[in-house]
Amino acid sequence: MVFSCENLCKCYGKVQALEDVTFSIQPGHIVGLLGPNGSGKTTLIKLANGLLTPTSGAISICGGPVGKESHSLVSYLPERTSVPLWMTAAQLLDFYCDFYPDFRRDAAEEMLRSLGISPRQRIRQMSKGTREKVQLIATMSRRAKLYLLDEPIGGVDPATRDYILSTIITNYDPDAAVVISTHLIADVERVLDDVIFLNQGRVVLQSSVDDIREREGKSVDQLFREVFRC
Amino acid sequence: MLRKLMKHEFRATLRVMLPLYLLLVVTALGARVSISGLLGTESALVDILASLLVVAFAIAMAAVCLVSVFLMVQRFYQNLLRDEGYVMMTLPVSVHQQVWSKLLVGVLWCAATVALVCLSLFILVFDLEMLEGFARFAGDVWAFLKTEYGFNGVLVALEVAVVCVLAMCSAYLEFYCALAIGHSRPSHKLVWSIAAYFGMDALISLVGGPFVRALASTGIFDKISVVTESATQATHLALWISALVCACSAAFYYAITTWFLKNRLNLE
Repeated sequence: MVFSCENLCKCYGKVQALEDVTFSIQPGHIVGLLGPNGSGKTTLIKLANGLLTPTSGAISICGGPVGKESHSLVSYLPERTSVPLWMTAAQLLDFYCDFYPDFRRDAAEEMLRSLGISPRQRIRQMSKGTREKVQLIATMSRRAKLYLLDEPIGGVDPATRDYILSTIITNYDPDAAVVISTHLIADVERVLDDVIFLNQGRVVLQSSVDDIREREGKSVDQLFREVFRC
Repeated sequence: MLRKLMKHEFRATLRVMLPLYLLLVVTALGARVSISGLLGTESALVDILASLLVVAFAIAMAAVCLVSVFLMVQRFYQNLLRDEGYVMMTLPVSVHQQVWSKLLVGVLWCAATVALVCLSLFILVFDLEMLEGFARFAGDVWAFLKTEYGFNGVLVALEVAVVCVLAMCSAYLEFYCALAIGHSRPSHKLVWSIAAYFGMDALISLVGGPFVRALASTGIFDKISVVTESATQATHLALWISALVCACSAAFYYAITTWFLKNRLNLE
């Protein structure tokens, strides 16, 4: 298992964000963590990154607990632009090179070149879409065991969405697992192997995309709309 | 990894501190020129210009001192507790290394600021005769203290430096601690941070006062004054007690800061 949760609960005061979440993810799979806004997707990803501590239950990354060691195995793309804005793209690559031995600088430079982004340009001077692309390039240029991508296509135009998704599927290590958290199902459906549906902090479905199509005769998007109908 | 964290911390702070240091040196040169030749001339315009140069130097000096402290606190807040925290707190480094990197770089910049302020004052008042006079005076005082009281100047200077560094660490860690506590709350994080800062101060005054009075009632201070036979010994003892108090408070704030960052991190 690359990533597993057992009876995971997270409360913010009296609000239960995650309740008894149990699942596991195998290497080599691209998994969609799907759910409406406020279903607990970001909380789950933050817990897997050690940015929050669980109220109860356990998370395991490649068989170990979340911590300094798991950080070297996980490549995380936060939902917001989090890279230091004062850095240039080249300085950001220096930064990733310094802390992650699995960072492929040549791959990152090639992606920057293909997008026409100057390594000397400051991230602050880039548009929102370009910043997201640079952050994605840094994340996907690692040879990590687990990629946790929180809303990677939220808030960008359809052309950028295509670029982001193609970057994800062409750059991840086949032995690694990718978790994509999103509520934009139609856009990501074609790249997913498995899905996990989260609703109000609970796992309501874990299945492979092929099973959904065969058993339900529906696309993931259609099933999602049925499960989460208001 | 600590070395790498410090390298990037220096890179982040250098772009602010270096221009400020240059500004300080340039304004010091301007004020020097102003004092040595421009002030007191018959031209009102030159007089105003000269006064402005001196004022600019004073402002630059205040700005460098304030910014060097403010920037290090702001770096902790911005880099670990705001958006950049998503990148920094998921690096394969420990919370201790994160805090140490901020603290060490902060202390080094503070020391550099003190050195630069001294240098700029030196530029301002540079006068070979006066300098020789000052050196002679300092030498006489040093020799007098040594012969009369057996004063080990080097040791005392080292002890003072240790106390200053520890006091600086304690001051920075108090800010870090308040921010870490405040940012564990779900909302109004800065308000909680300010409340935590003043709350801790109040707590220490509340506990510290009675603690010292209780200690005094045991007669320990009288015993110490008997043991210290000379002013020199008393100076050493006072400095070591100061260092101990600063180290204890720094350790207290450090423990709380790292605990909150490890167990109660709550990024927005």
